[in-house]
Amino acid sequence: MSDGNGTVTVTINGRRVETHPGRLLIDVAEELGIFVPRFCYHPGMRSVAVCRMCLVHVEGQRKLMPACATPVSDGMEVQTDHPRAVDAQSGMLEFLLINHPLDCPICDRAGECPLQDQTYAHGPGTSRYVEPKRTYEKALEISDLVVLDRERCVLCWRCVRFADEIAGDRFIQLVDRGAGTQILTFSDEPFDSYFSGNTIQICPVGALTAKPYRFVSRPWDLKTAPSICAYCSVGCPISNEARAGQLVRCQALPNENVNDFWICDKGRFGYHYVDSPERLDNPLVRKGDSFEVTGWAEALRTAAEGLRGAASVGVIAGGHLTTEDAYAVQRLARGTLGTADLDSRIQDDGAPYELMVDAAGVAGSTATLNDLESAQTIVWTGPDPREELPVLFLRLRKAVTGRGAKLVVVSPRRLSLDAFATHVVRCEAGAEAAALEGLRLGNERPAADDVASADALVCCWGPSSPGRDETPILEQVVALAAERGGKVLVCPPHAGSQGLLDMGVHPALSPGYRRPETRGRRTREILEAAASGEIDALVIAGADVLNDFPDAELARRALTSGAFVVVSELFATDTARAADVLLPAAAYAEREGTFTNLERRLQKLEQLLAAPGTAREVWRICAGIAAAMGDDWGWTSFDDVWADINASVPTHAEVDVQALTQPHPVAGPHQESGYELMPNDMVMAGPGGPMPKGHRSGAAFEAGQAWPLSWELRSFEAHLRPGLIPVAADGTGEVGTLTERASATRREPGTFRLLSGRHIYDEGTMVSRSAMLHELAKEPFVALNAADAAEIGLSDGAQAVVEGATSVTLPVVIDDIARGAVYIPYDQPGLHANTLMRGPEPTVTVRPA
Amino acid sequence: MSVAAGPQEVRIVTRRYHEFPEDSWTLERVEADGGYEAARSAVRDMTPDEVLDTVKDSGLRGRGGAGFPTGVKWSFVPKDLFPKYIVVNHDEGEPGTFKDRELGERDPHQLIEGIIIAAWANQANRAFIYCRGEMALGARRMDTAIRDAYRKGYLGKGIFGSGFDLDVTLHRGAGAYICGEESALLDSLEGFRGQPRLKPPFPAVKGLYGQPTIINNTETLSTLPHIIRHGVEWFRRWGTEKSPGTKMISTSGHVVRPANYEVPLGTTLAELLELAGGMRDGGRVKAIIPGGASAPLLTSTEYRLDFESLQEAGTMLGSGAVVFMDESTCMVRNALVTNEFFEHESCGKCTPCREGTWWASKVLERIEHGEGRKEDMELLLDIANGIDGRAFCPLGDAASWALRSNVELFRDEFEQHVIDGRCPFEDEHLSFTGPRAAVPGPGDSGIAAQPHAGVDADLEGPDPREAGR
Amino acid sequence: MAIPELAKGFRMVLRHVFRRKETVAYPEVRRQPFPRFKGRHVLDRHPDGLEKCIGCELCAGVCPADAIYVVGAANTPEHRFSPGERYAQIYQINYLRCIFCGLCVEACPTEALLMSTEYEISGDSRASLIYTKDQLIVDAPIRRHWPTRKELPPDFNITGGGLSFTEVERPPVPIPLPTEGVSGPFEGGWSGERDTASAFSDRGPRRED
Repeated sequence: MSDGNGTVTVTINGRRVETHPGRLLIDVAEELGIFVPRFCYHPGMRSVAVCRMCLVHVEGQRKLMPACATPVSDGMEVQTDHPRAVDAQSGMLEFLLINHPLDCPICDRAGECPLQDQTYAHGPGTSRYVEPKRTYEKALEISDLVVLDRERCVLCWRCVRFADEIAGDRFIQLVDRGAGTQILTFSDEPFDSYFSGNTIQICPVGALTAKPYRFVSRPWDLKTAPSICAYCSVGCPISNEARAGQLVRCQALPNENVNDFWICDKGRFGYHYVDSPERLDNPLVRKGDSFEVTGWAEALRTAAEGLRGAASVGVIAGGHLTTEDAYAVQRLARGTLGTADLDSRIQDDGAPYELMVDAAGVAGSTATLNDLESAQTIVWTGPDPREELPVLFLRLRKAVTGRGAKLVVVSPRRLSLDAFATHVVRCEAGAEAAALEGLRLGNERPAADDVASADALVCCWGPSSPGRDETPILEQVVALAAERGGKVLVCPPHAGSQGLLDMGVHPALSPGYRRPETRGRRTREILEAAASGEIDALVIAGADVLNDFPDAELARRALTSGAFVVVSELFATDTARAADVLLPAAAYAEREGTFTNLERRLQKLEQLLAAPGTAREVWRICAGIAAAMGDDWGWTSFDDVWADINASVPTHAEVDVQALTQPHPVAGPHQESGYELMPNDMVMAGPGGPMPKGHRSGAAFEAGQAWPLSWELRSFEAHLRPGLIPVAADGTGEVGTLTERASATRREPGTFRLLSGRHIYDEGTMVSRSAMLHELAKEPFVALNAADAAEIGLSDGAQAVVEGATSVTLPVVIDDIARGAVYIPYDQPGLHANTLMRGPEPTVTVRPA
Repeated sequence: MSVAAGPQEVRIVTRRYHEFPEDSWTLERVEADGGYEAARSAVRDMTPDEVLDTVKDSGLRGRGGAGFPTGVKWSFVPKDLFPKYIVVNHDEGEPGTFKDRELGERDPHQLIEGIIIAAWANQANRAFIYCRGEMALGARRMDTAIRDAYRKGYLGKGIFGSGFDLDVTLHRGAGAYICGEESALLDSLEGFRGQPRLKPPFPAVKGLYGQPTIINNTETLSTLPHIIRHGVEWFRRWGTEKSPGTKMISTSGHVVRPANYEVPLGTTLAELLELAGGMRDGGRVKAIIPGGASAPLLTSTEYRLDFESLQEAGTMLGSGAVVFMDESTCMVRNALVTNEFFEHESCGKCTPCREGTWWASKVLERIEHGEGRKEDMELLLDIANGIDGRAFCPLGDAASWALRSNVELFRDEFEQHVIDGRCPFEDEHLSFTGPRAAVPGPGDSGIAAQPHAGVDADLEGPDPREAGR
Repeated sequence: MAIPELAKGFRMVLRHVFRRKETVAYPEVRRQPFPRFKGRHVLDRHPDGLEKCIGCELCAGVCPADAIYVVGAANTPEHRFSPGERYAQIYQINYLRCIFCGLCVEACPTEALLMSTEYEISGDSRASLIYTKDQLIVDAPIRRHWPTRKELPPDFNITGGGLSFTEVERPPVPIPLPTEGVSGPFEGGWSGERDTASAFSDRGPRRED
């Protein structure tokens, strides 16, 4: 769209408005509170004007104009309620309904269906169609998550356009023509996209439905609360939706700053773990070889005694803690326990986040996700964003394919970004820093030219492989950005990772990016000290170090060395089973809180469910331990925690956390169905709750008018949840002295650097307990360069013995990966790759089985 | 032209193949007949702007259907954006039309000469001929002609010894009426599903591969050499002020001699009918389709065949396909067959065309088979109104015009079907057996069959695409 | 002063003293309710034994008292409960909340949910008044005593009184017994009576192919 020199004046239904030229009529009308019915138009995608539902009368035009494809021009006079337009809208609905099966009673969309809503508002009351309808085979499972019903389809193309334009996974397409046109996947290939769930949400009818939600609920049964996805660090806003106390659906909420309108399938379908029967519900205290259920008072007393008796305590936090939890963990460690040994980087990515503080003033991103869209050149080095940060992948793709930004990918292995990258710099494993230096100094051409010529440069970095020291890489990224006046986008792995840094759960950072008096031990050093007995007590919050730390043997020794271990967890993970005191924590849907995403944006989540049993938030657990040790923090509520954060964290001093509350739809006259719990977990109907039935229908929109579509992502809503990026002190912009230029180390034949990375569906604590997704997890494999494979006599599909700290037999995949390195997914069913790793910079040998 | 009693053809684009029916498509014959002279003089002696002005002054209007002035269309192309493309719309699919097919089969060099002139005027270095897939013979002859022209240096690097390069590529479509719509043609040419694009931007600004593109009909381009050669005044001797020149009229239906007749624009339907030998078996004219199946019907032969007169009469000249129907024609069946064509050829992109044509077919089928209801006529008109002006591209509009004019002009006949509970043109009442458009039956309108000869020809020799060039 | 009013009052009382009593000696004597009395619900079956209920939850959605709880699930070829894709995995009516308004019956798109004339609904615990699907569903299709909506004449107008129920022979609604040993003033069509199916053989359910 044109940015507009000046404005134009448009009259819509007699109301004059000034706006920018080139904007679409449908958007301008919407801002005036005038709703134009639509099916194919979606604010997140380009207009195609195929449904012809949004036809409006424009003065001086012979034909009716589609509002979704007509840019406003000066002096334009539009009537959306002109008799001709009204007739066209009614006629279009009659056309759409002649072949629609009208099986609303069994359709999951009924009650929140744009076709239903618009038929009530604009359609004819009866149909004059008396002939047999077009029929197809119903309920076609086009993937493990998506069910397609072609009879209900109105051929708006939204799904096809999404797959093509946004996700780049062209698995779903239009087939045949005329009245026989249908949406289908290609014969043998399922709709295997990491973003397939979005097509379900944007489908304006019940043609695409979610298998996990199939026949599970009706919209008026759902209680909903806005939240933030708890998986990766992008922090997409989502709507958690529960029926009878069970989380049954997650939907994307729009935020123009973060996720546009999209979320990944992991965020959408990975919620089943919350209701898992394996959830811990009461505190457990070790009695010999087994655990005993206790009350909180006794559990906290036991924990306090154990910690008080310890000479030295180490604290390790996992990446899914909220900002408040992080602050509590930090206060417990530095304040109550008086230790400097705390860290949250359980994958030991060796990321020197503190390095950024001098240069940029923050231990994290200086760029926002929106900066990607105005960037001319983007440099990416780090993990595969499609696997680990899926919505960031969409944002990068939009910046490159939609806005024409140049993308330079520096990686020793093939990433999903390579498909649309402008330049791929395939460096040797361990030589990323050298390649980045080449970009900076102009050696690595032609990619360096695009970097040099960019006015707006964004350098992205994320920890690419567990167990590696990435200091030189981050140094080069920061130096590159500093020299070219660019910004840095730091992409830590998990939803809570950035919040943990902000709150000082880091051996070299205290809250607000300050330097602590004493620098403590980092994760590996804590575990080493615990293994050697130097540390004799561990507090572990939401971290499964046995399976996540890239040296399984070290983690095992640390936990079994006789140290006193306190763990708070959702599940009885392998690490939790080694605890002396095991404290149950509340999941993200069961609590109020904030997550800090990779742009350092604070976003708030609301409580929807009650936690199982007596499980509670980690901050409450920490405060409880502190109180049991005689250090009463005086925290009883969420606001108390924030009062403390406001007072003690300089960067967050001005944050009004309640102002971050995401907008709730306004309640209408119909109340949602309620329920009561009977003995034996029986559910029965009960009094309804405060939310309107079909909770979004009738929700107010801008000018106080009713938004007529019950479930539709609303473009105006995308700017209603901005979140907050706390202001930090400016950095000096100077980068510390660069370490020696790293180079690929010499290697023995048959010995390889072990690269690893998480896949979207893996054995992670949460996703593995979400049944639907766990089935999609791929089997482990080892990826090799073709030349390396040939050298040791391996071919694609062959079995290879991989020997590191332990030995394992894996199928070989020949891939585009630097010579001298192998790639093994970190945590797939049947193999925790951390069992292969010993020490930093892990290597393995590979030989034919 | 010799003077004789009665109306006469004026053969301009059809002259060569009428004079030399044995070898009009060969390069030898064309060169002996003065072919490529106009192109040569245009490239050598005229500036592109001169050519453009000549075409503008000639008032030549597009012969494909819309009748948009060719010179004006060319002037929309941005001068400074390169590359530009010329695309020849040789995807003739309008029922009743068979003029481009004849030009492609019998005088392909005339078309190539026209392409050269258009390319020179617009400074386009690349041209594509989008040929309808079924026209195998034409495709082979055009392919041979293109290769001959390359050999002679009329195409390729530095044509006619100038510094101007022009490459021509022949592309055979896969047989979809919608690909005759210019933007759908471009999508198909690019390898996508043939579906019309959102306009604006128009192809002249952003067309093939996002570049400025001129799309002209075969007959339009075939006329260009004659305008360049003989001048604007000569061309304007025929036709009317706003519709100058001659036009090939594909005449079919219940006439004695169905064929292409090239007549000056402004010729009356009566004169055309006389040229075609009058109505078959001494029948009387019941209805006339004046411009291909999309055009609303006429019931009288007094109208003149030019763009304005027919527009005033509420119909259109379209591609110039005139179908005369006599009184043995069942107009319900005519509406059904026509509508089934549009239903089959609808691309499915927009709602009104996709669903409206499907619905209308169902209703017409019921009426034709004696199961109509008295409210069906209103319903058909409502369906037509529901499509007209609301569809994405002109295909839907065309379907609605044809449908509406059938119902409005012959409402009595529709009502007769409903009241009798059978088709009055059938000897005995046929039961409802489903779509019968493909089966010729009593009351058929006699719209000329599409050229199946080409398909058969495909089987005879090697596929030109495999032969390489 | 108030003599006339007093006389008027006493006259009224006296007149009623000699009228027939409305009360009956329940439970020894039980009153026959009107045929369309709105009593407790039943879930009907198709003649081939499939459930009419498709678990659409419209009854629950319309219920003003939030008395109905339905959870749908997908039929599979191995476990088919109803025609089509969906059936009610859980169907409960909470008679502690039900106000017998009948909106649920109106909302039912398959005419699966009907109201019987049974009014003797009492229990000694909350759980016993939550009727589950196996209590509500009949064993054999119900014989209707009034035309279904589909059988109404085409010009029938619901509000215009196009159908008079006195013109139709009206045996009481046959319903299954909720529990053994309870009897009431009902007859015919009890649970387990399969022969009623034959009367409906021409109105089979719509089957999915």
